[in-house]
Amino acid sequence: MRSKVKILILDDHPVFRHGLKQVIQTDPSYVVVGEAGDGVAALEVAQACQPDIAMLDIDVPKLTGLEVARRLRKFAKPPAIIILSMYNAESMVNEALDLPVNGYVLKDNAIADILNCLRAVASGQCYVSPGVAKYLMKRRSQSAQLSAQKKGVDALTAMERRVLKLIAENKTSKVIASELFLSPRTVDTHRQNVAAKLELHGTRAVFQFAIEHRASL
Amino acid sequence: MSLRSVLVSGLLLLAGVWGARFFTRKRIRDLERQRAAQHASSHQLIASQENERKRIAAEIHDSLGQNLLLIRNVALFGHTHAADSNAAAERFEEVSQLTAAAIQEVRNISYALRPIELDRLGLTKAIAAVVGKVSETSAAKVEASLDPIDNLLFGDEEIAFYRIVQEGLNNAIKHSGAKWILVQVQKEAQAISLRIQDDGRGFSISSHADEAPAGLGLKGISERARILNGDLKIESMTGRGTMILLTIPLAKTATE
Repeated sequence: MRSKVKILILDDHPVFRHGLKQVIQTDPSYVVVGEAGDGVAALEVAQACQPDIAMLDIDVPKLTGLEVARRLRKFAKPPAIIILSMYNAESMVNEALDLPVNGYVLKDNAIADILNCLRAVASGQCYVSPGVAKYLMKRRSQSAQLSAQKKGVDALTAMERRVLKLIAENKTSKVIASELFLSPRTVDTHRQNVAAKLELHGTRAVFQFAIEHRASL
Repeated sequence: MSLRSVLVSGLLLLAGVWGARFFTRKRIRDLERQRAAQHASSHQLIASQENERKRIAAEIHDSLGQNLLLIRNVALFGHTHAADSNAAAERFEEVSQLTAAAIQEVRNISYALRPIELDRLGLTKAIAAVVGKVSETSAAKVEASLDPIDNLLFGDEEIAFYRIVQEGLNNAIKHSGAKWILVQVQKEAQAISLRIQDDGRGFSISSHADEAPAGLGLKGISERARILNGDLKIESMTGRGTMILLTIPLAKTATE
């Protein structure tokens, strides 16, 4: 008989923790071996009971769930990590996924999602609640874009791109300066930086490039 | 002493006294004008705080409150008709949907009061988030260049900075019809500079926030710029666009 998957829960709402524990233990493959109401206690409990999976709320006292996750990853036998959170904001999801973590479950859907999540994570996969899956998609497409276009127009700052766009409109530095609330000297600096970054020599070359890349400016 | 020198000294003395009275009176008038302006300013500040509270109270009452009311009623109905298990399942589903909506409303109201990123992920990410949000919901092309500026501002300064970015972006979106919006945060040696620029319809002003068209929230921006001890420059040209440039000096730290 396969040994049960050991789970640690960090959440500072005892009622929620209790409810979650009940749902998890309806599945005999899992056993909750430790609970904690703050981040420091979570690390101590994790050290003592060596869970396979740690379920961590972000907003807990003493040490945030994300900080606990960072430290758990340094354990000799680091547990898989599932973030359990109220936050469906892209910034928070990305912060967690950057750590990285194995799962992100929204607390509003915890009961419905948690068993699916545990199943996926226990078998070595990742899982995010459907409500935040769109951010996962975005990360994928952004990283594909980044690796495809490290050079060229994307290597320029926003202001440099704007100057280049106005160069494509055949405007002089003086006109560009007036339109962009910059000094003409600053515009010339931007021109030079653009030329350097794009490895172009001479105003004609820069103008040519600007025309050719008008659409992406 | 000759009569002449007595007269001259007397005249000089009179001139001195008269001058002193004149400049004292002017000083008093200046101080009074300053105080009146400050009173008007704090009056306006308190008024805008109360307006904000009024808005939040209405939001909580009208959207969140209504949802909770509905949830309670559906639950009550389910309770009295508990025997019919099909209907019960439907009622549970309704409660589930309504509660999900209520939870999102709580998130929205909370976020508007204080962006979660500010206290948990830092100022830089909070600004990135508001720029991202604006970028998604607006037809304009929003471009950002954000240097990391965490742990450089203290206390109220971070939220003040955030609100300036937020207000500046709102203006660009709502009032200008811009197609391109730039948010640039640069960390310089002894300062942070913030540049919010758009290519919208602009307006005609001098650099004084007080003279700008009303409803542009520039007063709020200039008040907050003052909290940040920053130098605020606003330039606009009708038909060309608007630029807000804020330069905040950083205190020299011994360890840096």
